[in-house]
Amino acid sequence: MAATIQIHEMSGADAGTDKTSGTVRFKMADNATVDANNPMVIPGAGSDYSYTKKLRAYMEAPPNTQVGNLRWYSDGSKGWSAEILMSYKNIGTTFGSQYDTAMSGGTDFFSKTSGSPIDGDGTDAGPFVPADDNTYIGDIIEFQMTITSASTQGTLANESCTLAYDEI
Amino acid sequence: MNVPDRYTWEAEKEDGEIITIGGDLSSCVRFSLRSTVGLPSHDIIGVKMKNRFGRGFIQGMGGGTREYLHCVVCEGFRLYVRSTDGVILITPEDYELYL
Repeated sequence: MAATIQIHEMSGADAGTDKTSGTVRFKMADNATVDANNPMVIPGAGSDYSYTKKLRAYMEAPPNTQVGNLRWYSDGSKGWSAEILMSYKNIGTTFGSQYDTAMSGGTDFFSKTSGSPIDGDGTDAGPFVPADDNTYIGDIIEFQMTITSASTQGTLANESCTLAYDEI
Repeated sequence: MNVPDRYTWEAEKEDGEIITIGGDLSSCVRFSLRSTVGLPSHDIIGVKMKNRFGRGFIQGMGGGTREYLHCVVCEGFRLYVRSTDGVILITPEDYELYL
């Protein structure tokens, strides 16, 4: 049997919710619930920042030998207007608190494509072996949505985030 | 059936031993992929093989669809097989395919 790797939305360094087939909603509250509550509000001037979201890979079922080479990337095509941004940064394995102020040192997530992905195991380096079963593997990737006063109201279309890994 | 489990593989060594675990194919003379869901089978024989691995793709943030590639690295080329539909892609030996 091949390994089962999941994407989890993290609420702590080693605690999270399976979002492999689910939605990660950026909003003005610190929880993983997908609902219409706590929407981001277009500011009168300047920018408004969502609470950060942190994603990490989880080994739900082990490989025969190992898993490694974790990579995160977008499709490189943002389906939102120019006033809406998605930033990311790799924060290693230190969780930190979620926050709704501007991310420091963030990079445009849509600049990260399959040809230039985010290194997902630079700090928590693989390979990950069967003994890592039922644990979080690789680095925590932190995301934040930013909207500006020029944004228009409404619910945005989904965008995808791909996690790729190699397995032996 | 999980996408990664739609194919199983086996390789035959020069001495006839059959292996189904691991990545080193340097002493193998045959590599076979067999589908568990009726997709096309694939066999590699008569070429010098080096190693194999699987590559998984998970789409989060509203996606959820998955793909899983079986890759066999041979001398002079690579063979990628998609687990969703059994389609193959042959590339240069050092080509890294990401979807």
